Amino acid sequence: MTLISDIFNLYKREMIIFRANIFSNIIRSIIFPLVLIVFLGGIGNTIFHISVAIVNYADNPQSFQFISQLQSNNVLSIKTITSQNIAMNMLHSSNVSLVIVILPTFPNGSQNIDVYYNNNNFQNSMTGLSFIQSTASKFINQKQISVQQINAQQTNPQSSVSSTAISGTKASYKDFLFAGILIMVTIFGSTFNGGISLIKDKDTGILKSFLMSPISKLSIILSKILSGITQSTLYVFIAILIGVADGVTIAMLPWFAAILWILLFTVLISILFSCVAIILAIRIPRVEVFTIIVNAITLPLWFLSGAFFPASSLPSLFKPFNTYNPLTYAVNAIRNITMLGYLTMNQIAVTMSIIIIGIVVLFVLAFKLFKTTVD
Amino acid sequence: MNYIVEIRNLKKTFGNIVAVDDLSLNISKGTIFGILGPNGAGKTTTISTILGIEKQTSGKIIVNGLDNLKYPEKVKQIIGFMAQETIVDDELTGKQNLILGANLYHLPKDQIKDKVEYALKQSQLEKFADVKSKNYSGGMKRRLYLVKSMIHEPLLLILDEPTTGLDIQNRMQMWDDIRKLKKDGVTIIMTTQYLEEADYLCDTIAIIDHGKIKAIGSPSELKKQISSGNILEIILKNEYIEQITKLLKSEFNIPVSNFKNEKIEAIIEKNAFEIFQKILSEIKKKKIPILSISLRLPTMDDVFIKLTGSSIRDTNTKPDASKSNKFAYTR
Repeated sequence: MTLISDIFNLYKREMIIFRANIFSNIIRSIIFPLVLIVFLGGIGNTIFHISVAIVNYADNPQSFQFISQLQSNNVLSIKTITSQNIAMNMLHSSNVSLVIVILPTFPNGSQNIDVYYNNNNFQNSMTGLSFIQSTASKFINQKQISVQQINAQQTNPQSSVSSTAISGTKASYKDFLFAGILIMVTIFGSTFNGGISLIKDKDTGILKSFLMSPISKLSIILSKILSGITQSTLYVFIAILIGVADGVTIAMLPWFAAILWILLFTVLISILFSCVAIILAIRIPRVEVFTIIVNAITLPLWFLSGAFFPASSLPSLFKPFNTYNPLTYAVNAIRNITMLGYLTMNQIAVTMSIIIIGIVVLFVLAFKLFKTTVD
Repeated sequence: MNYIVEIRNLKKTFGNIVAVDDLSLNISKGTIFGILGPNGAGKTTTISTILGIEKQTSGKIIVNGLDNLKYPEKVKQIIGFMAQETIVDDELTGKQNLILGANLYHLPKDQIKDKVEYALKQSQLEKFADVKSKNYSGGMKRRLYLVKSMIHEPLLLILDEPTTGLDIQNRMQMWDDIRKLKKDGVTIIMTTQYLEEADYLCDTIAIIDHGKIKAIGSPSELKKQISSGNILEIILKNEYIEQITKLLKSEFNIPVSNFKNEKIEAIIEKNAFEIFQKILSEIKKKKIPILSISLRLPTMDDVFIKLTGSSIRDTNTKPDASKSNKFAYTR
């Protein structure tokens, strides 16, 4: 009982301090999602060289003309014209970003072109798709179709170009990035505020005064973790709001179920990284050094988790860092919530157990270090 | 049981460094106990082990009958501590600081409000109770810190250099506060770098150096250890020091006990006034140009220098006890 009331009292203090600096705290933690979602999220509109494979079933002059026009504008680089099997394999192994299948009925059927893309490569896919659509509109009977009809949505029965994402969803880079941003905000909220406040407490002697009072050391650590959870949860909420306002779609319905699932994973990640912050803050005397080291640890983890770009495009050297990285699992879980709209039991079990094992190990380590490094 | 703190053969090492070496002392209830010593003597380590933020390597500390290792929480409950630097939460108001302090010591909920109000009154901070303590002046913060340290009404209060950095008015105020606490029956252990402060406040003083007790007793007892007589102090130019040293030695058989740049000190055991007159006339006769000459009673400074071989404010010099009574004069 006393442990709980001790934790509560210390937590209350953390919150008073947090509230005192609420504006700078929020601005510091929100600047990244703002920049990344709003500005970088629109990166799909930029022109890239996009490698594609083409499957030509039509084999008529119009289709050849169509292919040569696809090559014209430096947007697409056609790697090969091949069978559908080989093309799909290339797509799966990330050798190409898009597979364009020209159906036998081209250009006069009701369904003329299928485009397949891998949902790991949205920025490429989206740019490519719009280019394909505009090129195709020159060949497909203008009476039959309008510009609206040539869109990427499968749900439109009249469309002349259909596209199928391999994972079964349609999304933009913004949607892809969103999950990564939520995890980043969580990490920032828990590491920086928790760790820096511990260093400051050490520096000002407040920590000493806690150690001299009859409260347990466990309560000090738990209150820091609790405050880390609170802060990162707040930041996640704000990031979700920014994302939704900027047009990010969340696939899981109802929306509060989606948010609860997201929060479950962000809370676990924030506990994990609060432990990391505590371990570092016990050993590091200065805030500046702490900041550098935290960045040196969290940013690579974050990059290698596939938060920013698809993990499939990582060089094989870095693949293990992706596989043995708890962030990978959290990012993927949140991405499934926002993009696919469902989580499999298997995925929940694997993600939770990996993060929880990490938490247990790091928490024991943090507590041991804190206990022995009194003063 | 008359002792609130009993320390038996306390030893604390950090790696190869022995910070406290076989230290034993008893502190009586209701007294003010001063711990003096040069930097690195082991004062802070001794205090930290009593407070329970450092664990002793060996030895026993019994606080109010409780072993500090067996009952750490109960021991912490009866000790209050005020560090050299003022430790208050800047972002919290005075009141919030006190409530947090009360909660950390697990005071019953119904008492907290009264205790906090009383503490605010004691520290004359009632008007500023809801002002963030970062906006307080240095003296206000210090007062807040003192009442915060006392919020759980400890039997034993440990003060680490309580007046360092305070101006003269705040220092006097702090002295008054300390004496008031003593009157209320609180035992106080304090370290200080102001020897006159120790002299004025403390009932018992322990001088420690190299982790060992060099002397312990009341200020007057300690001063008597130096000399029951008076101290002669002469200030003069360096080139005449040798001359006057010889004069004192040959004519009056008084050994010079302390050299400093342009200053010598010697102890006159008996008939100080008569001898002082004679020395004066002798100096006149030999026409030694002195700048000043005076006769005074021993102070804590003399005790300290004799025992540790350095003045308390010689912070950068590492005193060596073996040299404390040998004199080497170099220009």
